[in-house]
Amino acid sequence: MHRVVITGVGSISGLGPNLNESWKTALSGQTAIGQMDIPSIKPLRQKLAAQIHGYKPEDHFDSGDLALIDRFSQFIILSGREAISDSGIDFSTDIAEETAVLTGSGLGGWETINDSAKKVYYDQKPRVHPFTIPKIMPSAGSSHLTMEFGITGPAFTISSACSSSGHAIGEAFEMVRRGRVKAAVTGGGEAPLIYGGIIPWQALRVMSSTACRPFCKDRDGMILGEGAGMLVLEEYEYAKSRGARIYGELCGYGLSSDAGDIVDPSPEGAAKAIRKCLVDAQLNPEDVTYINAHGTGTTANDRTETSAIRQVFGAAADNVWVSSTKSLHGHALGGAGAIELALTVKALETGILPPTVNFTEADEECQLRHVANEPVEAKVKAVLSNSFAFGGLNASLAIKAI
Amino acid sequence: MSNDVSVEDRVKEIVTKYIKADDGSTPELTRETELQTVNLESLDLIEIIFEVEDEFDIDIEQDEKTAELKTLGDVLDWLTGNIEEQTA
Repeated sequence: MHRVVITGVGSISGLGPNLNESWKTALSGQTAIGQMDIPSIKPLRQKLAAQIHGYKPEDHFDSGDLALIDRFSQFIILSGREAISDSGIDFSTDIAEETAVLTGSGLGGWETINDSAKKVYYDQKPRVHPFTIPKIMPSAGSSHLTMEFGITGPAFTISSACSSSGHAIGEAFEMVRRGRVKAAVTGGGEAPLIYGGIIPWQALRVMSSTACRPFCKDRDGMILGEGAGMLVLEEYEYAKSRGARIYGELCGYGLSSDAGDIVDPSPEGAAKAIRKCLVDAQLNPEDVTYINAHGTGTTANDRTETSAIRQVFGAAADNVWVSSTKSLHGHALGGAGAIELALTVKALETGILPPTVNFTEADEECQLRHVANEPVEAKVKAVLSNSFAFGGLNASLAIKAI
Repeated sequence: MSNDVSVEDRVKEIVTKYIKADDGSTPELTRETELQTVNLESLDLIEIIFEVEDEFDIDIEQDEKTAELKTLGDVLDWLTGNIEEQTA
């Protein structure tokens, strides 16, 4: 088995158009959650979201290409470009043949699906734009990255709701460590902030109308976000041979399914993924400095996740720092795991842990060592990032300093 | 006759939007201009067909002949032919 290192990271979300700006905003404690401004037919009950305001697609893509690229793919491409440029990997060389592109997306081109449905059913048009299908494909982000960079290794997309990008990064990690490829460009993205996308979430009655306050006594739900995160993974010896800057070693990947309920998560399922991740990474609970929690801000998630962390970490749970950066960038569904892992990489690099903002008082059943409101400086040895999806599909990833 | 000219002009306007020279400028066009030389590809043609269908509220059937269209004149004739057939 090969060692796998992270050499490039990119991210776009309401926090910022790139990772460094996102990180700066995150540490300032300024949440990207605010008034949502999207075209609506009737007023939406849900007013808050972590939207990428001021984003202009034409600044990044030419008009011909834009006709073919849905918003979620645009985010994947932009953060992919950033991660690749950050890593310095040169895809004009043979490495392009030995690189995988694995992305995660829960919904795919939801904006395009909605536009097309509106034209067909509401406007009763007999036709829709000819590129509707290639825009909708959840795998479009992967494809566009392979085309833009000439990457000819394995490429596909994983869809497991809110764990999509966690699973994508984990499977890319597996490919590199098993020697199937030498490098991977991996992560995921989502663009769910559309009229026809908010209404189904409203119907579930899981969204907050006030703020995203994960693990707090007075939390009242999650808040949607949009964006993407992408990473470049490389086989350690290859990265070293080309003198790449190494952020850390991706060293563990644990996964499980609850086999329980389509929306209600189970502590045992989550615990199993975390435990398997630690075993895979050969880490003891005491080695872990920080967990970037799934932490959606719903009662079901937060209590389940707390219980899972307590089950696996035992007494060490009192010492491991925990935060949910969803309080900052919202819940970007299939892109969440990647956006969060990108921030977690920065935590490992800088020794600064990003906070859960809006933190008031911990719920009695969510007692953990919370990074509450302010960043915390720590000597970071190893970090975990959790993704738990509707339908009980769990993924946990571990990174350690090298 | 004046109607025919107007149809062709409307079609021309749609087609021209998809034409670009390698340097991004709008090249001079004649009926003999070859599609290849103005970067008009099969995907562009699909978008053009979509716009023409919308503009004239017609349905253009899938037609293998589109692969044989070589010049701008071919494209204009084929499109206006379809329009005339369905709006006659």
